[in-house]
Amino acid sequence: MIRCHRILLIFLALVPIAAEAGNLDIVIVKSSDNTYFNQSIETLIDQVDRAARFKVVTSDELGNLELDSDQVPLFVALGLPAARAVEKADPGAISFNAYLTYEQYRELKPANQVGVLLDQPLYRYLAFCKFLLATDSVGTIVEQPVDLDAQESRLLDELNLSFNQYRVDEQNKLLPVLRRLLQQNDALLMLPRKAIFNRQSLKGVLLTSYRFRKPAISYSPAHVRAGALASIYSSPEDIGRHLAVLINRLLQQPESPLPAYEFARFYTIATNSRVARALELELPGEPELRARMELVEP
Amino acid sequence: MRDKSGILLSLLLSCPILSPAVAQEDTTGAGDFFDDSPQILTASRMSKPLLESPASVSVIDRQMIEASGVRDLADLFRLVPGFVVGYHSGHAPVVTYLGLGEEFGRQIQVLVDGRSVFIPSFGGVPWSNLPLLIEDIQRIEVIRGPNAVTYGANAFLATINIITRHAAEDLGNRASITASDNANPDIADAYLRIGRHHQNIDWRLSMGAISDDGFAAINDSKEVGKLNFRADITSGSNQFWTFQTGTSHSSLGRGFPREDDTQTDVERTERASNSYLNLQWEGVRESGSSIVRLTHTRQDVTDNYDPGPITYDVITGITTYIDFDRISERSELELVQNNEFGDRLRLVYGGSLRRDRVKSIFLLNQDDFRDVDTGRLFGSMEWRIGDQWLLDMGVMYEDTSLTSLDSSPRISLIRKFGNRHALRLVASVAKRNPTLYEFDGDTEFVAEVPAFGTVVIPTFMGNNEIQPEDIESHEIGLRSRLGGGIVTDIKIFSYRIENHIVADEINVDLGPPLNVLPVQTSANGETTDVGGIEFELDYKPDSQFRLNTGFSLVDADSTLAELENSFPKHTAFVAAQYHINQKHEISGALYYLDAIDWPDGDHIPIARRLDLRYAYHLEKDFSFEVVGQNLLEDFEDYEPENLHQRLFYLRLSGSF
Repeated sequence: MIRCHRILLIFLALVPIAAEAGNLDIVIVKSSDNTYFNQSIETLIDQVDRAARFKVVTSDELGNLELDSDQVPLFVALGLPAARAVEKADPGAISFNAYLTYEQYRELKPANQVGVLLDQPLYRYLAFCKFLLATDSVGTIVEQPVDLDAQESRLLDELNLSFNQYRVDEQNKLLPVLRRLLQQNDALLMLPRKAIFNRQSLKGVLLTSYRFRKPAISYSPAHVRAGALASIYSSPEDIGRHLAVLINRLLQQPESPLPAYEFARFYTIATNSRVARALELELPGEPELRARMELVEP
Repeated sequence: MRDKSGILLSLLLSCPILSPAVAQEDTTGAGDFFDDSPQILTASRMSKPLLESPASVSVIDRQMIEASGVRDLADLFRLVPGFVVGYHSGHAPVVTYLGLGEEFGRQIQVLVDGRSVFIPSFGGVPWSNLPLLIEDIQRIEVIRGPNAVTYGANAFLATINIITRHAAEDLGNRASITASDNANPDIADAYLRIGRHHQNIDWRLSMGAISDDGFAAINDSKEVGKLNFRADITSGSNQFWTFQTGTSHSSLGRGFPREDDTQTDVERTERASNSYLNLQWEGVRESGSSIVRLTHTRQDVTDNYDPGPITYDVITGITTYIDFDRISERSELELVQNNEFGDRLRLVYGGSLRRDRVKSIFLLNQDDFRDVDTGRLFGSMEWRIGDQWLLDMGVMYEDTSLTSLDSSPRISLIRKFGNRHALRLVASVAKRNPTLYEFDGDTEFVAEVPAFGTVVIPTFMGNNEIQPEDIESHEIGLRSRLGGGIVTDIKIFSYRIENHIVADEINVDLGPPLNVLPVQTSANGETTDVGGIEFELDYKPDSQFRLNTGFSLVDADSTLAELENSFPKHTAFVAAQYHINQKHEISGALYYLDAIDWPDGDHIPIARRLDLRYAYHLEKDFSFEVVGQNLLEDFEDYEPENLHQRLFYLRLSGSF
């Protein structure tokens, strides 16, 4: 149990939190000792403006944490186990939870936790596909089709891009649905949906996409190493920067409401030149790609 | 037995398959993004970009295969410029490039997932009873021209590389049935596939039955049962195992109705089985990969019969027993190393050891296995000179126990113009090694002649002095990716074939009463110069429509008229496919083959063939197809009595 004063339950986005003047205690809880968590932590620490005392623990060590002051710490949780550990240790604590997908954030049903999501906003995935491939149609596979908001619909019109969603369920299995998608679209967009795109299904998805000579655009750099053509994702450094931006804003404007969650703000692009060559695709350079992507950012 | 197999099938079908609804391990989102993932599209699984290929390559992909609606694998090669397809009988297709086609053709290397399916005894490929189902094929790469550096000797005129799908792409169950209502051929085919995934193993079991009556006028019906198993196993993040095995069993009609006492080729049924094993290991590194492949193929043919009493000249009542039984085996261990040095240099090298075994009283006049061992070393280098030039050089050394060490070099220079055009200049030399039959064949006709007793008449004697055939090839090709989904390839080529292995005769003194008789043998001789132009176009403007077309114009000049006339002057095809909407699809193809003299057949006039197909796609991956073949006038093939007639068949297929 963390020894600190319990704070009142706060409804995020309605009641601002107040940070006391002076040093701030930031407790970073990481799900494991993975390299990518440590890289994010390093970037975060480097980019937080104000003087702060950082404590870094794993989710297993959280229960034995002792703080040097009575001040309410700000928690930063990296990964789902860390987010759960923070909520269990102190359900009323404010925390920024990174390394979560939108799916995981919704499962968590957090009360006081700001989700810093791994997902890119949909409009960014779509713009990436369009500017990378100059394609006219992109398909994705979902369990539940997503309703596009006004901004996304407008962007599709401006880009002259058709975005088609294909549903899988007990009747409609993944590979037949994928084959239909690849016949009817220029590219496959893989969104972070654990039940659909996972370690077990990845092989069949990438091999089938290649067989149809259609590129697969993914949310994960690991997929690019495996054989997807490209991915747009937030690197550990990008995630660290994002967290730092949110924390700095909180510190500078403690009255301003916090969002329940944010899609990734900063992104990195990865491409597989071997796959591009095998598919005889000529990809634009990253500076040109980023310049065009910036134009669609709100 | 039936009950047990039914239970087994039920168990197999009820195995849980990978589906989105199956619970996944509770990994963090971070792990899926950043943890190491095994390479799936390795360099060996991805074909070299056609723009950078040092040879003329045509690809028959899955979309083209399905749009064609064909039942016979050999028919797919009508979609390759310069390829000539004929049917010696309903179950004996002949596939050749440009010319020199024979039932047991020896100038084309055919591989299935890297395993040679060439029959070492007599040559040729048993197309109809290959243990391979069209439904399992992912793509076919056809290299038009010699390519011994990559595929060994016997990649003489061309190479056909058939690639089946990775098991991970075939999860679930799928079945199809095909049937016709015609009296001839009466078609009945069935196919069943089961694919499953367990941890790091994907496997596929596919089985099929194919039967039809062949041509109306001859005894060439076929019934073939096929079974294939494939398992793909990932070990760690960079090691891959592929295990494949399969078998086919066939009953094939042979011979002709007995019309007089001089005939020995009487109606009968030949039984054949074809089995194989293919084990491959692939290790992937940052800078390349290694492949080790162990393959084994065995063909067993049972064809022995009593033709009845024979009359020869004035002698009647001659009896004999004809035994065409034969066993052929090919076993090979191959190693291929692929090393990349930055972006500019790539080396591919390796070697193989192969043993061919043949047992046949008919072919070799002995009841023991006869072995032929072959060792092969090969290497090639691909060097990118700047961004627009690609130099590819390679050589293969091959030594067999029949002939001496030979080399087959190749050099190609490619000039790219951006990523849209590539001009290639290719020069290569290749050899076609003699088959065991040509080298050491020993066939005899043994008969009991009234009043004389047993008479042995040699009919063929191999030639231990025979040398490989040689081909020297030069070609200029231009491949272009034009806008609007148009890809073209045009090639001008010149081949010189020397030392053809042809039939010859020697006189043998058999003593009384036969005395001196001419006996067939094989000998080197004759030269053929072949030149021409080939063109190929693939037009895919969108996902609804596709057009493929190609033609070849060939001029052959040989010292032997029989060889020269085996090269048809023109071949052409046009194939199109159109998805009207998600449910309705139509496709069709028109094929043209100029007049041809088949070396072991007859003179056949110009042939035109039109195929049409309509497909109705229901939900949940079910579809219903109607295919019509030979919709123009009837045409002859190989022999005048082989008449292709109009044919319709239906196919119902679906996943469940």
